[in-house]
Amino acid sequence: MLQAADVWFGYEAAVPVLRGISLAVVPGAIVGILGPNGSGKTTLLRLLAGTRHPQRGAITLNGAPLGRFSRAALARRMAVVPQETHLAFDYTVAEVAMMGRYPHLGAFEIEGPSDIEVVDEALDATGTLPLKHRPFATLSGGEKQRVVIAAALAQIVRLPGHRSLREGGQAEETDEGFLLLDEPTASLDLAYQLEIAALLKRLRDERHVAIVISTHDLALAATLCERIALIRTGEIVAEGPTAEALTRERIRQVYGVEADIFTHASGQRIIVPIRRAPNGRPDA
Amino acid sequence: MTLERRFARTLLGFGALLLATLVFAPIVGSTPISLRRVFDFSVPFADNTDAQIFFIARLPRTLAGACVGALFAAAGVVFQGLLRNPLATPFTLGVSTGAALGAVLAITFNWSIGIAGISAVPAAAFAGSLVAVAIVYALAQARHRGLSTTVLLLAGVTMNAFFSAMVLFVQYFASFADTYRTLRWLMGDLDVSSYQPILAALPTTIAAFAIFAWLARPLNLLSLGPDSAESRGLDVTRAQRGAFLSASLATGAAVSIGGPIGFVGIIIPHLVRLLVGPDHRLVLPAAALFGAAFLVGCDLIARTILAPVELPVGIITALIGGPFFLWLLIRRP
Amino acid sequence: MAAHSQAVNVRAHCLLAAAMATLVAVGPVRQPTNPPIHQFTRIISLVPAATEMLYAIGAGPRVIAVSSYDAYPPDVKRLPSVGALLDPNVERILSLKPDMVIVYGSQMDLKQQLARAGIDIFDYRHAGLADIAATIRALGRKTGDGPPADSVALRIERGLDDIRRKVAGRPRPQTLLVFGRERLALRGVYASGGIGFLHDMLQTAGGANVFEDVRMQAVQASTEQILAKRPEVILEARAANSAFPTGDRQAELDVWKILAAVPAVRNGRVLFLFDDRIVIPGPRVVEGTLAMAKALHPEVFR
Repeated sequence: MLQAADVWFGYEAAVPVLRGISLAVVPGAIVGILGPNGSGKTTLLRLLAGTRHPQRGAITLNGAPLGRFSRAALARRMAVVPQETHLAFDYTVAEVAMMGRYPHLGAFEIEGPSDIEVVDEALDATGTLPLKHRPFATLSGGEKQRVVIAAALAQIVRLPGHRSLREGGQAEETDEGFLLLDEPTASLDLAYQLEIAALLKRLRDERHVAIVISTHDLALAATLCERIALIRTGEIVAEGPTAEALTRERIRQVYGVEADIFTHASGQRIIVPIRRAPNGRPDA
Repeated sequence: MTLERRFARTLLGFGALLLATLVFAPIVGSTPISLRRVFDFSVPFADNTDAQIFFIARLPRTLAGACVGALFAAAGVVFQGLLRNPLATPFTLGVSTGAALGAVLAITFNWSIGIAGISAVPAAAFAGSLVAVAIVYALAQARHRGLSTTVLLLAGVTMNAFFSAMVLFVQYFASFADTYRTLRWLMGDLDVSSYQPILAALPTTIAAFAIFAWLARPLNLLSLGPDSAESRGLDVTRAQRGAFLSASLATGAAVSIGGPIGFVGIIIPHLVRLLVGPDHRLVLPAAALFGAAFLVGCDLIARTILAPVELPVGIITALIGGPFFLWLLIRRP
Repeated sequence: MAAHSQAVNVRAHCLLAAAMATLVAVGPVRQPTNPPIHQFTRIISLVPAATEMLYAIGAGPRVIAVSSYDAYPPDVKRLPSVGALLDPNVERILSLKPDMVIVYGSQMDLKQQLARAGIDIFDYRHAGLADIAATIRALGRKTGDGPPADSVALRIERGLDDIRRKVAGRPRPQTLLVFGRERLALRGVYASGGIGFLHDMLQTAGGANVFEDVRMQAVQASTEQILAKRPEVILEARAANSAFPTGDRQAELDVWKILAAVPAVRNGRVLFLFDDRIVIPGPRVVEGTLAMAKALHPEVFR
């Protein structure tokens, strides 16, 4: 279980961006972190991934603070999928996906057949195996995102007997890893949004990975996430199962918008923003 | 093909090219020599002009060219990876201009003090490069949280301009002859006439290449962006520091041997990526080998094409580099 | 056919031009009945060689300023300096109100500015050994010191001929004449090519320039070239103020040991000539050539 307990963090020590954040992600869960731009969502994701460290409070993986793990060990447990990926050089899809396996390789070790198998399998799971030898830069937005998700999948696959099992301690053995996605559908077309949502659900069902999504796409969160945390200006305003936490009052509180929520025939929850709230701003 | 096999094939291919160049270059030159006579040990060395030319003039020069070429090419790859920009060169961050300032001061003021058997001008050039590195690094570190490549770039470009101005300033007070000699030094000169300068640069070279070897995979990760790299387990600050320092040291060592020879640090990385792809685990060793062969080849042209006059090697690399970039721009990607 | 007549035409033109040039150079013959009229009484010289010439022909008292590199005769050190080849201080020159300035042929801008100010110029051009006497004569004619100039020029010509006679018939050692290189290193070695007054000086002094065939004044001599040329003597010529400090002399000599196979190094015939008279193509050129001849043929000149 990945847990944040009363976490405070600021990029400059005097100015906290996150205040008193507490959140728990159990294996196999799909958790959404919602909030307007600037609320601290991306920062929270970075803290959960262990690339930043809280100034107060702690983030723990199965009880052990993240700081106790080496960077590589953490990377083998948790993979981050950023909103956009821009390459400086002309790597192929296979090369980009293989970079997900780097945390599993020793200092001068080269990826072996088992790594290649893991990567192929991850590409297949995201439907991008046919694109394997194409330059990454020539892909469409949706294809790129799926490749990066494949890389992330490959990153958290642990092979039996692989050196990754010899390090890191007990945290290695009790879960299938965490995928942290930052605005996964923000820059994608409608079709790709549906595609990614379906993919994530399938991955969770098939592989039991835990998924944390930070997004401002309410519809996506409403449909995909079982639990959500609503963040406004660095504080969690509501947290819990989606149906309970995502209410009209909360939406008005966090986004300053009057909205209607109802369930579509397909089973998807739909949120319709109607107008700005009377004072036009999120409640103080 | 697996990475291992591509790696082996790349090393063998470029290694063979380098070997061929190293064997061929000392044989050819403006003065015709006979290989048989070179290795005719019955003739005393003092009377064997062919052997003297081969062993005293051409062999050290060839090895210097190989060393300098490898250093510039590899440093170019690393700087491009660090700055995430294929247009970066070993000279972008002001290292070579700092070295130029050191050399210009030594030439103009006739410094004679060397260090550890290195004569004044190369020693001053290396010292100048260290000063440039220190200033740029300090400026880039001033912000919080490690090394910002944006600030690094700005600091480097600024120091480049500053040192260039200083070079002009010193040259203004120099005599005509000193200005001329400085200009020639700036065009590059691999005629080392002894193994001393190469040996003197050896510790730095070995250290730089050792760090380069470790940097190959981190550079792949860095090309995704620092955040992505970090989430894949890379200590980004340490990798960036290592990249900056090792590439700067390599550049400083290369400039101290042969002067600031341009274009090697940008042509070779591009060419190599075209041939072997962008994986730095292939690009770095290939660039080092190819850069070595390339510079030895350019020096060969420089010293034979207008015989008996010897052109500065920097002119040849520039004459090749310009059209090469034109071609890069024009060709369909 | 047309080409042939064209060639003949060209030759005719050249002969005519040469004739006219000679006439101009020699000038109309004057019969001085009065003491010479000094044309110019406020002379500035930017060229150290020309300054020496002025003093040699008796125009020294009329020199009011010199270049920043002037050092001979010692009197000039008292005079104000106005810059040199690359950085002439036009304001300073004009403020001293000269009536003639000796400038380098390449100082285009300066010449234009002086012309606009109505100041006469003497266009100094660096050339071969023989041209030194010709320049002295021309300078003398301009400043009104014709006779002294002629006698100085004559002395120089006779002095050089004298040296030539003394070394005639003696074997000429293959000589590398180096006038610049990096301190304590054999990098950036600059030697005299087959033209220029250094080369002429070497010939006159009884040496054979290894770079005789290179039609340039300066050659950057690479290691390979030095080895291939196998000089029997290496002369390092420098101005007096560029001389190697005494403490470094041995180290600077040892630098050549890399080329131990070269005859000059093997036989210990690497010689330093720190002498302004060699590097300044002025009136002391005979003494300079003599110094060089002594180094090349010590047995002739005691």
